Amino acid sequence: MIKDNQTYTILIIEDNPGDKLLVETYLEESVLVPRITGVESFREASKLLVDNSKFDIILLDLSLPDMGGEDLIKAVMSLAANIPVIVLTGYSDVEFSRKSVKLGIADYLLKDDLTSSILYKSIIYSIERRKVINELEESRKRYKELFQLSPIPNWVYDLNTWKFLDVNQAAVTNYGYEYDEFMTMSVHDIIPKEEYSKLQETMETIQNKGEDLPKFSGEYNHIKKNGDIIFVETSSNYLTFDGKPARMMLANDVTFKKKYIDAIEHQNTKLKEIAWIQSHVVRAPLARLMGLVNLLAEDETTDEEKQSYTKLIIDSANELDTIVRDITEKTEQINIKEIE
Amino acid sequence: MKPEIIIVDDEEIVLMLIKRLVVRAGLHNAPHLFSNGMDAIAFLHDQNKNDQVFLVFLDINMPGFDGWEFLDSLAISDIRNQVSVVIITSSVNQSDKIKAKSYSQVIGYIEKPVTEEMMQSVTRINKVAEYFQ
Repeated sequence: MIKDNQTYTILIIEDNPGDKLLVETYLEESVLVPRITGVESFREASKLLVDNSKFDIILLDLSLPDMGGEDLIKAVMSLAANIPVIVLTGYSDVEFSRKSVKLGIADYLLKDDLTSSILYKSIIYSIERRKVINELEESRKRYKELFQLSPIPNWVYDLNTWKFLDVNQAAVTNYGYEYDEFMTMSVHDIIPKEEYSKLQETMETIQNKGEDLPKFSGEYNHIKKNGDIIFVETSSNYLTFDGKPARMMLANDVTFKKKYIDAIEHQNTKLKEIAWIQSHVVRAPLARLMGLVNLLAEDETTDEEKQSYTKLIIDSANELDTIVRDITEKTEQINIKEIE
Repeated sequence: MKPEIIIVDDEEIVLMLIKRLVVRAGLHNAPHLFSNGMDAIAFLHDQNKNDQVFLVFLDINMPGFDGWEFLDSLAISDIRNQVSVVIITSSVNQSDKIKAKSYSQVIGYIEKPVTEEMMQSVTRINKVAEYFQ
């Protein structure tokens, strides 16, 4: 058998010297340089693991003098962190072996069936599998951070109950509810009552479409814990969260932007008013003036008529003056700095 | 038969100016003058000559019953087919012009001030030209 020339640092937790020797022998048959550390009790093992010793793999006997069985697995797992744990036992118990895998162990081997190659294979597989799991875990963590560290409030809610399943820090900061409070709340709790019907309608559409509606955006009023109403632009995506249909939603607070737009629209209305006045009110006396001046220019106009036209011209001019002053006053009311 | 001319404007001076131009351009010697749309509509309703044609010079912006309301009332009245309207307004809003076109009785649109040439050109508008020949 060609020996693996990689160095493996192995912790054997085994109180039976005979079993330990057997394992060591098997290891030496398949691995060129096994760096074996042996301990005989959980107490010793925990001391090593707490001291942060580096191991590639832990081989664990399930009946130690100071602990055994499920308790021992749980205790070792909590200390092992990312190191894979292979359980070695003298008893065949399918139910228990399944349970221990659920608790996170990498493999469950029967001492009686043990051979060098079975042990070697299990060690290599366990180490490689752990690497993959660690990478997945790392990537999960990275995505979790992306969610958590996003400066924009984000949450995941259950598509059927509308309950919050997860919220990020920005949501906690922006809305004023603690994370635990959010976890007892549903989307209803951040929507003003007046907008329930609008929300209901939207939610029904979203629920019916399920995953056929990957992306959805909207504009809503939301209510903070302190009662403040904010205007948000939302967009959400379908996902399954812990097996449940859910949506992840992003709610961007655009209250200020909306105030600004409202103010600009208000000004726009005023400007339109002014344009209307220009066209209708200002032009009336002006058109009259022009008409009267045309009359003055006519040859057959008598002096008497000219006199009365002149008076009308002056009246119209005065009227025009008043109107222009009114418009100026109106224009001065438009002040963008009034927006808070 | 020449059309009867009706002038509707809330400003007395304008009524006087337009009347003068109507007379000078030879459209009519004695047009009917109204300072609001309500009275003009009432006058039209009282007409019972089925063959008489009317040409209305209508101001748009008037207090109370304005030019649009006049046109709305006219559009549903029995006499609508005997009446043509030329709008005379101080408005230079494009939107007013577009709105005016939506009324089938409206055959012309004049922006104040009105000149004698403009008044002359009204007699050449298709729908009424035959009456002025």
